[in-house]
Amino acid sequence: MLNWLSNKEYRLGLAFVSLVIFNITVLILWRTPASTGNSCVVGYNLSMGNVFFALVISLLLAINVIGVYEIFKNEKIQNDVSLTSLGGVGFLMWILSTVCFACYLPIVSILGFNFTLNFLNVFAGWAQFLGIALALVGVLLVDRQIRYGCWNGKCKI
Amino acid sequence: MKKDNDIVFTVAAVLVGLMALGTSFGAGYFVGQSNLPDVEVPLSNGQVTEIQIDDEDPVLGDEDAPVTIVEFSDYECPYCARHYSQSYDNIKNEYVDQGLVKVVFKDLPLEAIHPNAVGAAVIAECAYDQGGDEAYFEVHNRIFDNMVAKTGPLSKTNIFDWIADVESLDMEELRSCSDNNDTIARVEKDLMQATELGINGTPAIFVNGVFFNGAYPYSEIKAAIDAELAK
Repeated sequence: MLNWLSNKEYRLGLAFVSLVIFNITVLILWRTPASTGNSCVVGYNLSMGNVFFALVISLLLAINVIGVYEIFKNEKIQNDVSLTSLGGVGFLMWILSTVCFACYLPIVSILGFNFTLNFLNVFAGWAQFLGIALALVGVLLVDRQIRYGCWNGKCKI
Repeated sequence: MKKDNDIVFTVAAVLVGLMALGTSFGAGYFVGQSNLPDVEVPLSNGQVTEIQIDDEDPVLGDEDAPVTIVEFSDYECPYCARHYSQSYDNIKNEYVDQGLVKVVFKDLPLEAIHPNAVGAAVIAECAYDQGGDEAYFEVHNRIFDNMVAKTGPLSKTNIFDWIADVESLDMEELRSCSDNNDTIARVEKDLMQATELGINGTPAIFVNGVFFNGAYPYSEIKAAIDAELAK
């Protein structure tokens, strides 16, 4: 599982993406007005628990992002065209005909939903558990599609 | 070609490494000061502490009143507005006007989450310079009345609109004073005092030194005042 991450460029990309997501999350935790006992407190959300959660979810989300890129890259190889020769509409048509939406939609949806949850974690513990669960589902889906194929119109889910 | 790629990869790896290092320090720094700067031991609710009152602190009520309420507040904090709406008038009418309580107001603008609170505090301090306690609390009340009524966001422009008809204030002088660093220093002095006391949020209310961490219902503040008066 996750053998495709053995590529050193991907690992570097993984570190970069997870750091970016982590930094944004920490910044939100720090800047979000919080309250406890009917008072305004700076940085109340920035607890060790929340920071640890941010670290885990950032890593999982980054795996998803890199995974989506890997799937896209494989599809592109199967349907290679010179992108510079395409105009706006041409590019849109190329994307629509290249990308297997049946494969992408669940992953991209989970990814998008997870980003939102990641920021909701500031407010609710349940969002953290749901976020990690969904991110893990996303990782499983992305890994499965990379290993068993979603290329060349096969769309195995 | 492969050598070029290796160099690019190494540079990228070093940059990501530096980013990770910066992130670790950054997160550690923020977690370390998760409340106000240098608040090592936050004050607990109900804890009794002595609070220094300076000559330039605005005071509402009789200087010799037996009970002193000190309030550290932030004009942009919704809980401070809540405290104002549910307790301020009651305290004033039932205790301050009878000479039983005096209220000392101190600024604790939480700039990280309320970027306009410092400006508001400075304008109120400038009003104090012009007209003393009376002018200060006139501005204080106007700001909180508008924050409670949600007539608009807290901003210098809005505050000057809200206080435009206060006859005892020279608006031109007030505007120039609000950009004065000396006045800002007075606000920062209150903030430093709050930090030293271990206050980690607003409003922070002290009834003869007994700490109330937040906007408590008036009944609880009243009970504390009565208890102090009974001593």
